[in-house]
Amino acid sequence: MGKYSATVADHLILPARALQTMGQQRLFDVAGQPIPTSVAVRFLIDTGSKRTTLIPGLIAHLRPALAGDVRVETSLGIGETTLFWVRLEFPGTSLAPIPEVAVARLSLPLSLSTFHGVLGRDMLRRWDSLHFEGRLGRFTVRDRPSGLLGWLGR
Amino acid sequence: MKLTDATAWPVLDPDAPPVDFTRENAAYEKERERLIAEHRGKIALIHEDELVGIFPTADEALLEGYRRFGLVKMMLKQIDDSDSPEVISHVDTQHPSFRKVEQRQSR
Repeated sequence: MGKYSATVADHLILPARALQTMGQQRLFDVAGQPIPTSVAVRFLIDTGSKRTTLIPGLIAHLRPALAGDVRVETSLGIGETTLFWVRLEFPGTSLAPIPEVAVARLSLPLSLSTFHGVLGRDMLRRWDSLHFEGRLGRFTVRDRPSGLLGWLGR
Repeated sequence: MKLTDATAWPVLDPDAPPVDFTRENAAYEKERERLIAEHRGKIALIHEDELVGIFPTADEALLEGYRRFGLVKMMLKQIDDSDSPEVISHVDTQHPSFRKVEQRQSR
């Protein structure tokens, strides 16, 4: 079972590393292309967003494979953007890596410029729980059930 | 710099607009109903106007695409039946990565 716990100040923050999927790395290697290095990212956990995003500068570095396009609804209107396949790892936590996830290439508002993307419900649905303890000012993400339920494989 | 070549592996500058998938989306739409009925959740490999095949993972689709076409632009689309836009709360809608389709009226 993997988990990550942190205190909450203003935001729910999850540190991660973004990189090409293993298949992309193999392909770049075979094709004689330099494999982009992984990048440390700070995700803003956002239960109000359906999909995880990464900022365009990071996508430019990773050169990941295309997953198509997506229509995006924001408070200011509807638009389109491009989806890319990436791998996410969570060093410093015991959360298991996500081998491939289609993320939207979107820039964040200036007020969130210290983040590299939002972590949306598409990622949270892959995990067992996001537990927010309001009075303790703490949250915990678990990728599998804990305790007896986890042992039984639920 | 935009896409260096419409058929090449994408190299997007941070300020480049979204990738144009007109041809790939048209190829997908032709088969959409069947794909949703038979392959929901899997990955459709589309190269230009051709639906090449269906794969369990994006990596398997990518490696088959590379074997057939080399390191070129290809779309690895997850098959789902959702038509509605995806709500994403925090977006800089002025950035070129977001192509406006519909402006919301202010009250």
